[in-house]
Amino acid sequence: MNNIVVTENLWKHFGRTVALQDVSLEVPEGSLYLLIGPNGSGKSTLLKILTGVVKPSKGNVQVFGLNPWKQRTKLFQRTRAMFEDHPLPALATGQEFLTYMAKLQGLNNPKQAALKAAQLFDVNTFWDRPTRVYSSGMKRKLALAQAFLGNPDLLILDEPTVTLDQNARNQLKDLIQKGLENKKTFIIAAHVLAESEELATHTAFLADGKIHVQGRIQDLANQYGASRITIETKNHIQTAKTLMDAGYSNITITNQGLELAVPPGETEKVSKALQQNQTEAKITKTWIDLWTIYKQAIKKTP
Amino acid sequence: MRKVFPWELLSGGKPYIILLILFLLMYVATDYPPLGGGGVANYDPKIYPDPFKIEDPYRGQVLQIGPALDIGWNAFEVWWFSFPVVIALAVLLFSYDIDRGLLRTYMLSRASRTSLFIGKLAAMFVAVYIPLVVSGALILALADPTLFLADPLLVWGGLWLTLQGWALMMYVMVGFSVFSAVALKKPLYAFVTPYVAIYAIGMVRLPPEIGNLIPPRPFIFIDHVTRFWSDVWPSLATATALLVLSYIIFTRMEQP
Repeated sequence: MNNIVVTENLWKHFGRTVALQDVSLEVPEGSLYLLIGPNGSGKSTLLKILTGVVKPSKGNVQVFGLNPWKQRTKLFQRTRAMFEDHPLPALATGQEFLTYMAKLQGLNNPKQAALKAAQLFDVNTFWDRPTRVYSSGMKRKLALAQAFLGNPDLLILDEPTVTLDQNARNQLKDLIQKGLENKKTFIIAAHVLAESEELATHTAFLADGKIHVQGRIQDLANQYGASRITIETKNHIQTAKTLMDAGYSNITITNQGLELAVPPGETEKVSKALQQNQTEAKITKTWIDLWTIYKQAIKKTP
Repeated sequence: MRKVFPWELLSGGKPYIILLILFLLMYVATDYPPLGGGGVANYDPKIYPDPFKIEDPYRGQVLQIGPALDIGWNAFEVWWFSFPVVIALAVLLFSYDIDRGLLRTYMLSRASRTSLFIGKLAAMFVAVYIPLVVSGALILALADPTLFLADPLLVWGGLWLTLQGWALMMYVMVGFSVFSAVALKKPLYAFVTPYVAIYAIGMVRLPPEIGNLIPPRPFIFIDHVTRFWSDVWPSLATATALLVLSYIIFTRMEQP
């Protein structure tokens, strides 16, 4: 698989503040790369370097084989981005803004392209008003709509779900899913895990400007024992007992049922154990607990 | 560039506001006593001197329809009234802190930093020169020497030179103000610094060879053709150098 983004020993200083320290990562084509880290960990700085808005102090960056700082205009032929603090021209309407972005992007029929992008997040229902009167959620939807203009090959999104309502979150998730099916690449930065977590194929955890863990999520889950199964049941005690009898010990009781930490690929085995004991319980979700990976990775970092 | 320029010129109505203020200031700015500091809006025929009662109507006659039409305008006044307006326009167009939204729009698109700078500068020049062109057109259309009993030579002969001097003075203002807007991050500092700096330098008693080169002084002598270029070129060269420097800073500047 081709790597669309490659950074090598990347450093960024803002005066005396070190925002990024020796960051090296690779983002394969067709992946959803989830950058997770607390506030001020350097996620946004990294994304701004990838988009050529900020110049790295040291190290190499390549996006589609291009240097983002020097070849930003070429890079944006295939890339779109949205930042957490995405400012919008206050006096322009949403429609003017999107149409203008489509023009700058060199899209054929910019008005049509703007409408298409607006419809993805229902922005066209309020886009005839100036952006300064928008709520934070509306602004975020508009910023997201501009990011999806022209169906880019690489989409860089910084905290995309903050201030979004559930409907818009679902719309975003569907769009990402569709994009992944079409070999589009996504880099998403977040400080809390949201819907996009479920679709992520790769991840990196940043703290204090350093990457503490990174790689393919499935590999990391195997390495750190982060595979989880969610079981829905009304009889928590009996189900837990059945699972313990089957040799599982890492069980957490939740409101809806149980959460079970299992080695990878154990879903069927757990399912059989539940059926054999005629327990009234069903597996509703198999997933990877990314926080477990991050927590353990930080513990291991010297 | 052709995509950036119209948006910069038309978006948000900023240039229109600036243009309007500049245009009004040009009308208001006068030290011609009979007009009492007012411009066209304050026109009062009662206080106009009756040209037929003046012994020599051509001597020292100044066109009286308003300072924008007044070819004897005072460069000092036009400078000190127009300079803050031009700086304000530069700060609105170039200051990252003020126009963050639009700059980020460009940064996340295929627009190059060079196109962006040239587009903004072009929008600035157009916004600044439109009042000049309009005023020039009004002078040509209205300033009939016979009607105003002005010296025809002064009207038709001095007009081109006056407009030229005016245009060059505006160019110097643009050079200084764009540099300030690009080099100084805080919009307030960018707005105040060039005005205060030029004013302070003007207050210092420099030797006349140097002092006369500091704007707006070189532009007083626009009717002395022989001294015109020799006095004006240092400030023109400085403004050009500042524009080049602004371009270098702007295209290498991070916009986090």
